[in-house]
Order: sequence, then C-alpha cells, then structure tokens
Amino acid sequence: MKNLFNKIYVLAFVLFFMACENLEVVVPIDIDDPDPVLAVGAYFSNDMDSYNVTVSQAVGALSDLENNNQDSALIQIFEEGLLFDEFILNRFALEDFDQNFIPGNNYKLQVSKSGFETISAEAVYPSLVEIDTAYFRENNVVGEFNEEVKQVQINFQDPVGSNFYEIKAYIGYEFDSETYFYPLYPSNEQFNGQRGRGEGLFFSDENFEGELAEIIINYSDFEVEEDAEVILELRHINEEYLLFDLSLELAFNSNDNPFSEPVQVKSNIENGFGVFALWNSDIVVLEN
Amino acid sequence: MYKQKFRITSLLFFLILCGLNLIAQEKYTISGFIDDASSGEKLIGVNIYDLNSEQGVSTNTFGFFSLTLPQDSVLLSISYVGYKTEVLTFYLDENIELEFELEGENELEEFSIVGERIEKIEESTQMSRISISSAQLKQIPTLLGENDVLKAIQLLPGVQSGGEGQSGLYVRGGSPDQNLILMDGVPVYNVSHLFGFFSVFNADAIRDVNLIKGGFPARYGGRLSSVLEINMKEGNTKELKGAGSISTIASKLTLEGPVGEKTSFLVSGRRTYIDVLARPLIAAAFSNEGGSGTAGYNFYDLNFKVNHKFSNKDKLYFSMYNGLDRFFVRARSNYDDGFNEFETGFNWGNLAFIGRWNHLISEKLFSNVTFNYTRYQFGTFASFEDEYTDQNGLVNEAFELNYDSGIYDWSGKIDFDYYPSPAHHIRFGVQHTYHDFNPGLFKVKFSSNNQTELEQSFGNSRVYSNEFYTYIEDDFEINNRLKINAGLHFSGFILKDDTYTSLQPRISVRYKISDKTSIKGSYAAMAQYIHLLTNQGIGLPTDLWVPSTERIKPQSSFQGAIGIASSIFKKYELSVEGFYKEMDNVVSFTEGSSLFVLEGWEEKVTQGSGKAYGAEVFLQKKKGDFSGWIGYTLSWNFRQFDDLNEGNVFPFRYDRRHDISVVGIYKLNDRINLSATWVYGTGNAVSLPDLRVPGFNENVAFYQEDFSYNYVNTFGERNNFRMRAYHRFDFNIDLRKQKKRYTRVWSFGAYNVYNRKNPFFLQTRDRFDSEKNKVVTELVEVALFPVIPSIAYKFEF
Repeated sequence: MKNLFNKIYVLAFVLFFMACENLEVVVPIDIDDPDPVLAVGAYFSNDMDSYNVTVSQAVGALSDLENNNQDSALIQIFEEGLLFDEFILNRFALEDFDQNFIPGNNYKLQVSKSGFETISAEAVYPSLVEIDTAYFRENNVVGEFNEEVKQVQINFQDPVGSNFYEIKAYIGYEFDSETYFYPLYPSNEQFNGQRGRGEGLFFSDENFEGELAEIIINYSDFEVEEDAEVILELRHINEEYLLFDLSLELAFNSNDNPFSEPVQVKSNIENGFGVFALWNSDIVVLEN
Repeated sequence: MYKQKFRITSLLFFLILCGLNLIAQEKYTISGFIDDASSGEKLIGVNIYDLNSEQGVSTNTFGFFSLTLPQDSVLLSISYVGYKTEVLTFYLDENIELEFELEGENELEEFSIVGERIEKIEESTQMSRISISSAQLKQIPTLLGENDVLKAIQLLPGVQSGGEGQSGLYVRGGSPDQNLILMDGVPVYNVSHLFGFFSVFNADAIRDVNLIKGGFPARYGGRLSSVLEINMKEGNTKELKGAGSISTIASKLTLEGPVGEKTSFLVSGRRTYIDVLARPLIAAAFSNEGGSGTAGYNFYDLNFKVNHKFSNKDKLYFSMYNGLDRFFVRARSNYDDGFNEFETGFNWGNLAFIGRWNHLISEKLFSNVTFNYTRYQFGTFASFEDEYTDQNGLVNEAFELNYDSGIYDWSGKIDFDYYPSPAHHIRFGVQHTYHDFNPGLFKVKFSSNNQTELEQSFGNSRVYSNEFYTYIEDDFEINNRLKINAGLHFSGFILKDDTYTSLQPRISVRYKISDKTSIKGSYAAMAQYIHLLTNQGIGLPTDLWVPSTERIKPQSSFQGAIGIASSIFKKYELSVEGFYKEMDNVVSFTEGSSLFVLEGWEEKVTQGSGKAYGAEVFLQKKKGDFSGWIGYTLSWNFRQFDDLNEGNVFPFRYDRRHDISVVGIYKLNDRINLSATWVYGTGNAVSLPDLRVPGFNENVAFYQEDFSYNYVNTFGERNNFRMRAYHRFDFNIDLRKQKKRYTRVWSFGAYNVYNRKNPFFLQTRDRFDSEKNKVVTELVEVALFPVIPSIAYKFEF
C-alpha cells in the first residue's frame, strides 16, 4: 500500500508540473488605431500672466505615433459668436494676447491645423468671487509624519447656482532681493477638496450652495520660515476645467495599476481632446 | 410602484385565505420521515401520493412529510428517482406516523442524471430550479481531477462562469455577491480556494445541491440573483462507510457511521499538497542563493457533522466547517556580523458552527430551529528583521505589517412547515443575524534594538449591524391544473443610525395544459443589504464584504419569468424560460479605484442600476445508460451608473449573448463510465483604452515640454471590446472495480482537450520591434490553461 501511495505521489507531482509548465499563452490581438486628433490645453483667466495654450495630438492607445507638440496651429477665440482674437501658436504668441474676458459671456475656442480636423470648445467666463476674510486658525493637528499641520480659513459668498472653485496657496519669501513662491499643496477633508494635476485644490459648491462658504485648508509647513507670508488664490472656474483636471490626474495615478478601474478623461473639446479652461481669481496675502 | 406592491400583496393574502377556507372536513394525517435504506440519510423531495384520492406531498429538507386525507382506504405510493417505488395499502381511520426506508434501484442507477428531483418538472410550481445529486457531481469532468460543485453549476443554463477556471457564479445577469450560497441553511461568504479555481465545498461531503435562479419562494432572501442550497450528508446511520481520493492536486478522506442506535457522524477532510512535494526544491533554490528559506501554498477543508435522534419528534444536528488557504514565504540570509530575515504571506478562510433542532410539534406542524456562527477572515502580514554591527555595536531593526479584514455573523432562525391539507403546504418563519464587519485594519510596528519606535493602526473601523426577516408562503393546489406558490418576505437591516426595510411579494404559478406539459410564471422582488467590493473577475481573498450604510443603499431587484416545462418521450425533460430582471443600487468601484481598499471604502464605491433579460432552454435525459443535458442561454445584460461612462448605459462585463453547455455521461458497462462536457460562451466585454493623450498642465507651456514623454491612456466607452469566444471540451473516464473489501475507481481525464487558447485577461505589453527599431505597445490576450491531464484514485468502502 505504501508503495502504491509513493507511486501515485510521484505521478501526481509530474503531472501537475507538466500541467503548469507554460500555462500562460499569449495571443496578439490586432485592433484598428483611431486617426490622430488635435489635443489642446487652453487656460485663460483674469491674470494675463497665466494664459497658456498648448497644442499636441492624441493618438490611438496602441499607435506607434507619438504625442508630438503641434506648433503653428491657428488659435481663434470667439466672444458671443464674434471673433475675439486669433493668433498662430508659437513661443511668443501669448505675449501679444491682451484681452479682458467678461464674466457671464460665452467664449468659443477653435483650433485648426492642416492634416487635422478643426476642433472647438465653448465655455462661459465665471464671475469674480472675492475672498471675504482669510485667517490662520489655531489648531493642534498633527500630520502623518508627526509634523505640525497649519490651518487657514477662507470665507467667501458663493453665488447662486452651481459653482466650482480651485484654491491655491503659496509661501512667498525673499532671497537675494528676489521674491520666490513655494506651493503649499493644501488639503481639505471638510468638503472633500480634491487635488488635480497641479498644486490647487478643487471644490464644487454642493455643500454650501448660495451660502457663505467657510473653507478650512490644511498644509504641512516643513521647510519654509515661520514668518513667510502665505498667498491665497481663490479661483472661480468653469466645471469642465475641474472635470478635466481631476480625471486626467486620476488617469495618471491609475495608469500603471492593472487592478484599477478604467478612467475616462473628461474632455470638453469637440472632435479632439483637451480642455478649454477659464477662471476668475481673487488673491489675498496673509502675513504671519 | 407602491400601489402595485399593495395589490399583489392583497391578492396573495386573498388566495391564501381562500385556500384555507376549504379545510373543513373530518380527516386524518399520515406523517413521518423517509430515509435511504442503505445509509439512513434523509431523502428530500420524495413523492408521497395517494392514488385513490389523487392527493400527494413531498418530503422537506429534513425528510419530513405530512399528508392529511379523508377517512377512506389509501393506496399510498412512495417514489423517488433512483429508488424502488413502494406502495402501501391501508384504511385510514386514525392519524398514522411512518418511518419509512426506500431502497435504491441498483447501485449504478445512482449515477443517473437527476434534474428536478423534487417533483416531475411539469408538476412543480417552482420554476427556474435545478438540482444536482452528489453522484452526478462526481461524474462531471473536472479541472485537475478535483470535483467541484460550483463548476458543475456553471454548466447549467442561466449560469455563467466569470472566466477560465473561476468558481464565481453569474446568474441571470447578476454578480457573484448576489448569490445566496447556503451550506446546511447557513450563508457562506467566500466560496473560493486557490484564487477562485476551486470552491470550498468538498464533493465527498455533499448530499445534494439545489439552484434557484428565479421565482424565489418567500423563505429565501438577502440576495438578488440566486439561491444555491448545498446540503451536506448527515452521516450513515447503518454502518461505518468511507470514501477517499488522491488526485493531481489534493487528497480527500470521508468517514461516516453510527454511534449507537441514535447517533451518527460524518467527518471529511481535504488538503492540497503541492507545497509539501515542492518543499525540497524550494529549499534547494534558497540554498543556491546563499541563504535558507521556504515558500508554499496550500488549502484545506474540514467538515464535521454529528446527529442525534432523541425521539421521533426531536432530532438534533450539529455541524462544523473550517477551511483555510495559506500562502507564505520565509527567507533568511546570514552574514559575518548579523543576519537579514524576511517573511510574508496571507491566509483566508471560513469557519462555521451550525446547530439545528427539528421538533415535530404535531403531525401537521414541523419546526426547525437553527443557530449558527460564521466567520470569513482574510489576513496578510510582512515582517523584516535586520541585524548588523556598526561603530556603536550590534544593531537590530525590525518592521512588521499586519492587515486583517473579515465578516463575523451570529444568527438564529426558526422555520415552520405546516400541512393543513394535501392542497396546502404553508411555510413561515423568522430569522435574525448580527453582523460584525471588519472592512480592513492595518497595524504597523517598527522597532530598533527591541525599542518600539513606531506603532500605529489605520484603516476602516468596524461596523456592527442587525439583519432580520420574516416570511410566510403557501404552496397550494387550486385544482389539478392550477397550482400557486405565493408568499411575502419582509426584511430589515439596522445600523447605528439607519434602518432599511423591504416588503417583497413572491408568486409562482403553474398551469398544466396537458398531463405532460405545464406553463409557469413567476414574480419575485428581492433586497440585499450587504455588498461585495470586488474586481469583477478573479475571486481574490481581498474581496471585501461591506454593509449598507447611510450613503450606500441596499440593492433591490425584481424578476419576472415565464416558461413551459414538459416531460417528453418518457426519459427527457424540456424547459424553456424567458426572464426579465431589473436591479437597483448595484455597486461598482468608481473610476480609477482599485480593489485594495485601505481607507474610506464608501468614497470609492458608486451605485447604479442593472437590467438583464433573455431566454433559456434546458433539455435533459435523466435515465438510462446515456444521460446528460443541453443548456442554451440567450441573454442581454446592462449596467448604468451616473458616475461611470458619462452616465450612459453600457454592457456588463459578463454580457454573454450565447452560452451553451453540453454534458454527456455514458455507462459503457458495469466497470467503465465515460463523461464529457463542451461549453461555449460569447467573449466577455472589457474596457480598452482608446486614446493616448498628453498630460496637459496649466503651468507647462508647449515649448517647455514635449508631450511625447508625458502622456496617459484614456478610456472611451466602458466595456467597448469583446474578448474572443470561450469554448472548451473536457473528457473523463472512470474505471471501476469491486475489490474484496472496497471499491476502487481510477479516474483519468483531460481539461480543454483540444487545447483552445481561451482568453483569461487582456493586457498591453511593450515589445522592442527590430524593424521599427523602437519599443512598440501591443495588445495581447493571455490564455491560462492549455490541455491539462488529470488522474485520480478513488476508493469507497
């Protein structure tokens, strides 16, 4: 009996490893690549220094093509259906772009480049939402690494209707007669503020619609001197900007995780990809 | 909607009351239990039928029946598929108690297919129900020679597997968490071993299996899509019996027998042993690397059951199940001035204690009280220890990480079976469960020279809740043609600050249009208070059961079905059913979320709706040397979530237009049995990225960054790509020989005989293309199992 069991064990072992050997078989799948389309990142605000337009191309996910930048594209902006400005995209094009966007007006972005279908996007320029008050809060909050967490409260009146915001915070400090700005990467658990591609914190007004918003932001102050001033920027943004930035960041964060759920980057560009982002910002400086 | 529910509810009560009013004559009751003559096992679904009055009933889950007839002569037929029919003649002028034993027709008849054991398919009001016997389970070809109840269930129409080798059940558009899987009447949460390739149910300890896909009787609740009843053997009351097997991957042993006259027991164990066999090779591999260590994976199951009969009126059952999967790696390297040791692993498993007490209150009223404790637990750990010498002397640094999640239930219920007349079988009962959810807690510890530097816990806090239900149903015959099962199920879920309740009407109707054919219809509303956070594919132990909360609402559904059932050509049964199901508050991970939920699981979940409809055809041959079935399902299955796919409807991953299974078992002679299966299914719908897009940022201008190096894939429509169709042929041959003291069976089989490269998952891979002289990305389907031979040695005594 013992002999029989030994034989069965050996046989079972051999069979199992025969079965396991090269279990994984790879079958290549051919799918058609979609044609490349223009991709644009267009950012406009009431601060001319922050204008930014970038044109590239979106290609099939499995395509051999690259996402090369596309300069010399024709950029046209229409205000309430009339041509507002136009320029050929190059390094210095935006330096001459000197236009004031009017809150409540509808703007259309149109980008053309030979070899591509013309793309467009529309958005309403948001109103200015001013910061009523902003101040440092006393607190005993300790961070993940036992560091001190500082808190700033920003109060502002949320306009009637659905509104979307981005809050940015910087430390400003002097060094060799120059002023430098250091982003603070704020966080907020109170209204589930979410971080996008940059250092800003995005909110919708679903928790304080039409009311006085009292937002507390946290930041960990590791390296900056105690007496540095804190610069707060409240951006009233179009919803499409929030959706695009958050979904793009989510796509980057989950791209290499085979277990993550698929992410659709929410573009507001017709016939192409990207974002036409508009914001109106108010800035206050808090002295420490 | 509420008006509609009220009308249905009123109608049900009216029908029940009408039926009860008919009971007002001088009658006597024949009641008792029907057992298997050779093993003493209770027989479920035995037909007890008076040929004179043409009235009959069938035995319940505990083998009990009660038949009330007018004072008269009785010609009582007791019949059951695979057993000799017995006919008793007597004059009924008093209540009679029967303890009756049925003898099997012959040993090999046991292997015949038993499709709908409880009644002939055209007689039962229950539709969308299929039963499988233990003997049948053991005949179906298997992966690596390991019989598996869930793999067998996947061969039935309306039931799909998730993917290659997986045990998950997708029933009529539902997902695996929507199946109420009951082992001896108690829910089991995680039914997978080895990442879903095997189920936790040891086929040697199973008596029979019943699957209900729709038209749910009111006694069931808590899940949306199916009820899978797995009844374990009670233990032979006549003599000591044993069975065992040694297969390619695991060994099993089952012993059962009497202890005195009134007690019986069953103990059954199974363990894989690849870790034991591979241990020397692994140790040698570590040694070659200059260290020492071990690694392995195994799982085991242990079933234990003991029953005691106090009297004809009182029986006590106690059962226990314990199963565990365990994976571990340990490695150690020694140096001149110290060592470095690493250990990691994970384990998961179920534990269940079940106590049941049958009490016969009267000849017409049977009760069963159940108490149980169940636990599903997953844990993982990692530790690292480093010892070395520096200028300050000996330094010892250690790091430990532990993670635990699980669900713990304490539950009690009482069920009653009341037989006021042959035309009525009324069931009612109440159940309560206390849930303790542990949605995942991490503990981290770091120490240096035995001084704790950091010790921290983080994760999701435990959630406690109470779930209850009560029900009443009546299976009543209005006349020879029309029979109805109607009932109400009321359930509730109580959290700290929230309470959810649900009233669920159920009705099934059978109308016989001829002696051999009936049409059936059913409607069932269901509610589900607990959810499974899963990756929709592989049954990973990290899948997390979580409760409904203030934010995450209970799931609900309704399903309507209509069909025709017929016995044709004596040995065949045919059923054709159409179904339509809508589901609300089904859960899914939000975009970008992954299955590893560390904190704040509620934020990573979104809820939406689902819809499934289709038709099923089931043709089976139940008796004879050749038996088997053909099942075909044509179905559509969709989901809609406001937060996914821009709110648009999309096909569910397991939207499988065509699903076919063919099962054949052929008894060549007394020594050789052949069996084969062939399955086909439309490919799963999966999401593929459609564009590679630049990673724009307001701070980066186009002349500052070339987006060739800063890009990401974005997905288009969800589940926009179909994997290739799945099909496979399996074969098995059993060589059976009666030895002097035992019967032995050599079982040889092959899984995926024609070596179909069935897709398991899709992925993109980077490959250097020498022609293009650059790295290119390509899409590949990864197939898991080629042809896999198996061999098993089985014995019975």
